[in-house]
Amino acid sequence: MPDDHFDDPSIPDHERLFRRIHLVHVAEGSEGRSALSSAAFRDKELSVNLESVMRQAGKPPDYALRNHPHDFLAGITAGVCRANGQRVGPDPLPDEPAHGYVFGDKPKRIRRALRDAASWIVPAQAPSWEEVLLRKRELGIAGEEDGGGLDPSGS
Amino acid sequence: MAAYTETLPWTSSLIRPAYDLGESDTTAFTDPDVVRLNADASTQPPWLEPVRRAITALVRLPQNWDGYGAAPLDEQLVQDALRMLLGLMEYDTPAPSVVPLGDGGIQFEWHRHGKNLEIEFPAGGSPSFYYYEDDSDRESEGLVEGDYDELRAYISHLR
Repeated sequence: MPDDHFDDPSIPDHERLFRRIHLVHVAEGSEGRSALSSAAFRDKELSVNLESVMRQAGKPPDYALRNHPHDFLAGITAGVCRANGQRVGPDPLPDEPAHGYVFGDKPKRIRRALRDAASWIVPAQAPSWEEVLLRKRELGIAGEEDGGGLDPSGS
Repeated sequence: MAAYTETLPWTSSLIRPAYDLGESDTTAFTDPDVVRLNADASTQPPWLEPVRRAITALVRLPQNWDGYGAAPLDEQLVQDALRMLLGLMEYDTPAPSVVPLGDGGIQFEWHRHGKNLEIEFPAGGSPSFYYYEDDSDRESEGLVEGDYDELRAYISHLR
C-alpha cells in the first residue's frame, strides 16, 4: 500500500480499471434485474487492476479473477474516477503487477457515480437476479438457508 | 402506518442479554439470541425473516472475504442495525438486500421501480442514508438519527 497516492498522468483517462465484485455486493434490482451495490466502490483506497499492464503481460481481463472464481468483474475508466475527485495510480504487487488504486474520499454520491459508470466485464452484461441467486446459493450466501454451501469467501 | 416498533412489543427482545461475544462464534450468532422473537410468527413483518436469513449467511464471511482485506461483520453493530431497522420499517415494507461493508459494517438497500434507498451502518461511524431516484435529480442523504421522519417517508415510497 503506497504512502503517496499520487495521480499518475501516464495512466490515460481511457484506461480501464478492473474491480472484482464479490457476489454479496450484487443486490436485487427491479423486475428481475440485479443491481451492483455502491458498497463495492466504498474503499478510500480502492484496489483495481490496470488493463494496460495486464495486456502488456498478455493477460485477459478475466485473469483478475483467477484466485476468485466466484467473483464478477467490473470495469471503470480512469477518467471517470478523476472526474469524481479520485487519484489513479499504480501499485504493483509481487503477485499482481497490474495492481493499482483509485484513491480518495468516496461519499455516497461518489460511490453511486462510480457504480453507475462501471461496466460489466465478467459477465459481459449485467446478470439477472436469478443468475446471481444461483451463484449465491452455491456459496451458501443467498440468505435462503441457515448453513452449508462452499467457502463463502469465494476463494 | 406507524413504524413497527410502535405497534408491536417484541422488538425489545432483540436486545441480547448477557451475550458473551468473547465466547461466541458466528454459529452462535445464528441462534435465537440474535432475533429472539417471542411473538407468534404470523405477527412478524414479512421482511424480517429474509433479513434474518441474509444476516445469518453473511456473518459466516471470514476475514478478507472479498480478497481486498474486508473485515467480518461486526456482530454487535449488526444487532444495533437490526434494532434500528425495526424502528424504521413498517409491517409491509419490502425486504431489503443486505450487503456487508468492507469495514465490518452493514448496508441495507432497496432498488425498486427507479427508487433507491441505502441505509449504511459503518463500523465506527454514524448510521446514514442515501435516497435517490433513477429518472430524476431527486436525491437526499442524512444521518439516520437526525432524519428519522424523512427516512421513514422514503421507506414508505418503496412499497
